[in-house]
Amino acid sequence: MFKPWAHIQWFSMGAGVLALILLPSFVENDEIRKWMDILMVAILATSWNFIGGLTGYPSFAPAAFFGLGAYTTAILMNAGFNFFITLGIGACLGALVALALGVPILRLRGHYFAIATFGVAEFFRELADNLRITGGGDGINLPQITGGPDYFTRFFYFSMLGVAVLAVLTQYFVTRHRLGYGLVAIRENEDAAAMTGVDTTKYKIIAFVLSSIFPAMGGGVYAYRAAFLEPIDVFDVMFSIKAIVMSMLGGVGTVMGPLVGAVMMEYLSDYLWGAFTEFHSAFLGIIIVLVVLFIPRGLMTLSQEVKSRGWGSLGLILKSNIQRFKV
Amino acid sequence: MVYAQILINSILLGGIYACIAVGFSLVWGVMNILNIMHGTFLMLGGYVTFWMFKLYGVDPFLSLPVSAVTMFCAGYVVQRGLINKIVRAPMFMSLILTFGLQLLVVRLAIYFFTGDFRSVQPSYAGFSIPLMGLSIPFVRVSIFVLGVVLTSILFWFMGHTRTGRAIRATRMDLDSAQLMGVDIGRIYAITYGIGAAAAATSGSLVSVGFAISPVSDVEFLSKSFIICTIGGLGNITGALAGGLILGLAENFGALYLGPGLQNAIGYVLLILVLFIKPSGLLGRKGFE
Repeated sequence: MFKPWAHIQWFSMGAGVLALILLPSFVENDEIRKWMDILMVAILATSWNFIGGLTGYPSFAPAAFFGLGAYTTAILMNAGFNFFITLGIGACLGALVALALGVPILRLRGHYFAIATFGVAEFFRELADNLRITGGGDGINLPQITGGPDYFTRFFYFSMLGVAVLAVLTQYFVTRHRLGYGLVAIRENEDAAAMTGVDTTKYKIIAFVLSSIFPAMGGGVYAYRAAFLEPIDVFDVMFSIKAIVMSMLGGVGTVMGPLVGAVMMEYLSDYLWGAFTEFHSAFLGIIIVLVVLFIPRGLMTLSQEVKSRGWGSLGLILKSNIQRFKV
Repeated sequence: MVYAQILINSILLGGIYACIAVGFSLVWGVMNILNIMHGTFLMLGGYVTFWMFKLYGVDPFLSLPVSAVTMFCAGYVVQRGLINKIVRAPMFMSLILTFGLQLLVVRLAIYFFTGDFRSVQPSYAGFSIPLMGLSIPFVRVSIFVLGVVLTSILFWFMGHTRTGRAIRATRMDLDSAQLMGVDIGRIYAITYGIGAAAAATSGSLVSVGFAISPVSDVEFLSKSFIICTIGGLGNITGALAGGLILGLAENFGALYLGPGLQNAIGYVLLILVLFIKPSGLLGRKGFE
């Protein structure tokens, strides 16, 4: 059966990837670096979407897996491993840790799950601060990459792009697969989902594992690029927060939402307050408050509503959004 | 003797921890809000005490009411103006909203107060009471006693006043309470205000015995997470038990494992309790 909509989606996704592949040929290194940062947060946001968006479990664990992957790459590269092999090992390690942790903490719901995942990330940070193998609070150095700035900027950009494409493709297939529908069913009503035959425990663990793999790989690329790691840098709760906020800004539970959110947010922060780097987190705070109050279902949903009701009704839509959940 | 001293230190620390967590437990228990702003109110309360001492020489224990009242008002406004708008949304929304506010306020606090660690140093700061060969720091004992007294007052308020009963009714069933004529928006704002005032009070106490800075709010927030999870929600004894357990675990853990891992112990406890008994050791059913 011919489904034109599916083809348009494939076409636009292909065009997007092609544009990102060709991007380094046309722009300066600075611009490439900016897009690399966008890709990094896009990886985090897309991964969070597996567990937070599709399954509805508000995880604060992205920072934990990001840091885990970063330290895996750092330690293994110091032992002489190839960079790409360390990424693979980091991803496997992230998946194993997510599996081991997922069994106990995915039994928790709501705030308790959020606190447990937060606790895991903080515990990892304390551990990295105190172990000898991680270099403790002094941090750890990585081997420097050889080659000129033109070369290594592109090398890291394409590494990040590879991970991002992998994450988005995985998400795309999951949302169109039995697994994705099962996860959404769990989000809407976990007991009802279990009743209709969804193996909720298994599904939730798969979602949690998927949400851990890509941040671990992204963390590995980040580590090689930074060439120096400190526990406070990579186990930063802000990585988790950014992932969550970007998903929300774009639209939770959709494939495109986290990507739109990531691009919007990074560009906004660059153009609106690039001059006030000191106040970056304050502006992020304001954006969070505005998004939660006015566009809780994300820009994707908002744009659909505006498209069907016209620009004139934008104010009305925002007003109804803010009044929906008040007491 | 070392053990007796550590035991006393742990109990004193545990009392302060309990005081820190009470407001957090109240807001979580009544409104199902994980209040990320809790540590921020605590920090601001500490700064009220610090500046009143520094600028006007007001004794830290006398400035407690000022810090409590200002933060009650701030909390009331925040709840009325912002959080009340999304109370019925999925619980995750209120978490992320308070996180946004926390980012904003902490950043402004760093701008106005600088990131330095500050501590109130009254003339009696170094004074300690000798007792059977042990030394008991005077300031920490005062903090402990004041914390217990204020927590008891809150306990009495919740059980014996009209507003306290309205708060408990709202916790049990939002819609029924509304049908009985409770002004939910106002009760929620008062509850949040009380939570903020409790945080500010403990912040004022903390600024005397310890040190505060704009970024130390996260530290106290994660302590509140741990204490409320260990002790369980829904009653003040839970916060007390959680505080004492954490105080003991941290001090004895530091003795055996070294001071570096002191904070990690709290997170291990947190995850263990969630694993064994998710509703907390003293938590009541229905408060998960």
